Amino acid sequence: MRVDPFFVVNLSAPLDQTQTTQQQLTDELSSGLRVTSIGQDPVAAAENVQLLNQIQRDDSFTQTTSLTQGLLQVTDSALGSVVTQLNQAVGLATEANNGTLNASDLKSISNQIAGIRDEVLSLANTSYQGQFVFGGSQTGSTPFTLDNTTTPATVTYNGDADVNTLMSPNGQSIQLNVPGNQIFTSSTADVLGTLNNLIADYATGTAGGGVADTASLTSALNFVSQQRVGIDNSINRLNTASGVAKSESIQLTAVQTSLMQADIPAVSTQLALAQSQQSALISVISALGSGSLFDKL
Amino acid sequence: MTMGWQEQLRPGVALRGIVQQATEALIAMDAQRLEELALCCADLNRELEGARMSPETAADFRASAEDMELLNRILFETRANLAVFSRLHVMRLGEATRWPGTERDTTYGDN
Amino acid sequence: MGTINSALSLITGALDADQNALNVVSNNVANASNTAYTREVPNWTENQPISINGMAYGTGVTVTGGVSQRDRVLEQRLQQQTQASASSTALLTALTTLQSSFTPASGTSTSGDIGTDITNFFNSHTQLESDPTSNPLRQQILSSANTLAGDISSRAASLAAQQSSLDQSANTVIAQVNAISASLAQVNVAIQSQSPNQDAGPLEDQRQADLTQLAQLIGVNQIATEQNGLSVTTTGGQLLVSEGQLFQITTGAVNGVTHFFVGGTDVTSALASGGGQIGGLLTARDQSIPATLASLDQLAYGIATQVNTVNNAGTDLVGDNGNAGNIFNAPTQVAGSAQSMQVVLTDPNKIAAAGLGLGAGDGGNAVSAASLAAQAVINGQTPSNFYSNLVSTLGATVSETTIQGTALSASLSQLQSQRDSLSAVSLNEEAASLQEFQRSYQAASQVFTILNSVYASALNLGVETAVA
Repeated sequence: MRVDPFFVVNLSAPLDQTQTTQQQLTDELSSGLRVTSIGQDPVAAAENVQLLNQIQRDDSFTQTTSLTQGLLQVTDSALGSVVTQLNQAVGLATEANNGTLNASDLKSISNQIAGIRDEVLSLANTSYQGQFVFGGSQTGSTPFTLDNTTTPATVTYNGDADVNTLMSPNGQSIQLNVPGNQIFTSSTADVLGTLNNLIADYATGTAGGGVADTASLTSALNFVSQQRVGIDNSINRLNTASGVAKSESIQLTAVQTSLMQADIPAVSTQLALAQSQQSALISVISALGSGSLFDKL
Repeated sequence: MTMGWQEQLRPGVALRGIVQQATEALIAMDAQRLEELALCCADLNRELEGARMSPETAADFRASAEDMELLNRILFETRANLAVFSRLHVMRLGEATRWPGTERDTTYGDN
Repeated sequence: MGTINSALSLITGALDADQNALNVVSNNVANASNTAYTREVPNWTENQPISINGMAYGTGVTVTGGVSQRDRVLEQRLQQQTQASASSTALLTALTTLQSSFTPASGTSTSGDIGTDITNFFNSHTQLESDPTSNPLRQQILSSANTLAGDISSRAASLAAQQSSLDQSANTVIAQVNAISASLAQVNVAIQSQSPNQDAGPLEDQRQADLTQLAQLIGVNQIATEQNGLSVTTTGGQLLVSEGQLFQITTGAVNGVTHFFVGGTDVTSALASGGGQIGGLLTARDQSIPATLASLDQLAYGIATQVNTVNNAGTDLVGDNGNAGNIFNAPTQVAGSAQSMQVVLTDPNKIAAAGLGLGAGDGGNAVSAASLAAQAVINGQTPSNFYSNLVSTLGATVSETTIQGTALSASLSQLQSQRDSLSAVSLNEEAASLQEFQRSYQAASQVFTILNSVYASALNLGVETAVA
């Protein structure tokens, strides 16, 4: 029996390999990408997934913040106007309290404060892009309604106490709203209630409980200013988070690009090497006999 | 050293070239070429010692991880092949000593 | 060839590949008359140089015992490497197709990339947090869900299709194996009856040709038997041909794929690890693809069930409180969930962005959905990390197979040229050649060791491609 077994020297495989290598390198040069298949560099391919994930998260967050900034600005500006209005109201009430005004002047002040109350009510019912900003999660219905039939008039809050947050990519929780009952009708600082009381106080032509109510109004005003600071903080945090996301995205994109991008001079060298390997193989195959190897395969 | 145009390139790329040439030379069992390459390596290694590694060079090195793994693998197969042929040689030596009329020949070279 | 001693019955048709052997042998014959050689080695001319049907084995070496023993050592090594090489090549071809389903995305080209789809889907929930009632943002959630489900399911479908195609290829290969085995059995009968004690000439050529073909397709061992007989087994030990007797490989379906049997024994997994083309095909069909598919299934199952749970834990825009419905179709088991992943929610108002019992303006449940991206919800990993691992595992398999295939080809090339130069020369030449071989090995090891330490220190310098 002959002993021959398996002399088929499979040189076609290394030849295919040099062909594959050259193809890869040529693709690299034309596409500018170093890693065109995961087998080429599995570690880089895996890193690429994670980098892209982070970059896309950052980019998406940046988009979101520009939508959210609008909401916060509107909230902030409304609160600012409320403070202005309340300052005016305090001024009027102080004047009313000093005892120098007559009954008809006091009635007039009552009317002016009523005007301020209407303005504040309107501000409390601010909406942004069709959603009421001070209603908690009940953004679809008017947060505050006024009932003029009682004396003093009553304000009802129709929203809830829900606070909405936005998560930044690094896990920060940014408050997006202040529920209306926390600012305008809270027990600590009942802005609308106090205004209604003052209106009722001066409507009869006397100061009535005006002094006490004015003190309440002043502390309510301070409270509103504090709440405004909370919104300002959110705006700042949002800006910062957005800035961080943008710069992280830029940095990571640079990392991702250099990870995946072809290095043209190096690739050209490798291509030259692969080509010379291929020529060497071809000449070995030819030397071993014309076509005989390929017949075997 | 016969590094030629590779000398002008970055050390990482040059080293990669050495790995690939060593791999080819090992397949061809060209001992002389391999010894030349070993000297090249030692030289380049000395040059690189203490030099600051640039991100570029590090990336080149990363890219040649696969080439190194291939060389490693071929070294493994080569050692196995070497063992096979050594064993064959020993068998032949054994046979040579069993023939009648022949002197026991356990040395080579000048007798 | 005129100088060659006619007692050396040499090359016949079967050796057309061995030009080198030819040259070496003719050189050796020229040297055989050199007295320097006869001094150091046994008296060649006294011993009949042995022709083993076309191959001259070491002038002056006896045929019994020594040669066949020695040939078997070399033969085993060559055979094992050739068959491993055929297997590796077949596996690599399959893996190359498999990995094309997971081509890395770049910053600019992300279409079809599952990793990007995952990120976009969860990002769309983050965006909803800021404006929970927004219809465009809700539509975006649905459309990114559709893209994610579409890409995962179509990827799984193409894996299943590839598996099916490999199954067909495996069947074809085995059919060929059976045909060759049948031919071998017949040739064995003819050889044993006509030339039980000598070279069977053209019949032997035929037998060799059959064996060569067979070895490409399937891992086999061959055993010489009495009276010029031959038995062939798989590397796993199953008899395929025993002289004139034939043992066909039969097929049967098991769990949707073809299994292969010899007699009553299921040899499928033995074949997968046994070498030859069938080895690579079955490894791809039964290991590589199922492993990747299983990962995709876990990903799909995890995402679908978690997202559905969250959507059913909030309030939507049409008054559903804790029962807004599923976004994805709910998979009943992990297996198959990738291919069947689908979006079942069509009404964007039924995305439950608000917490339970809260008004439409609340985005708390959208926060919960978005935060799934950072939770270890898929087999102890975040969805994105899980996918990243899928990629690196598969990529590493491809890379490993590529390297192995190249190393095997290199080894075969070495064996071939060493065999040619060692098998027909004197002990001296052989020793010198071995020394050269050893020198090569040592120098190459040195190159590797030096470079390895350079690379190690490069890594230790902690230089990743970090931006300064």
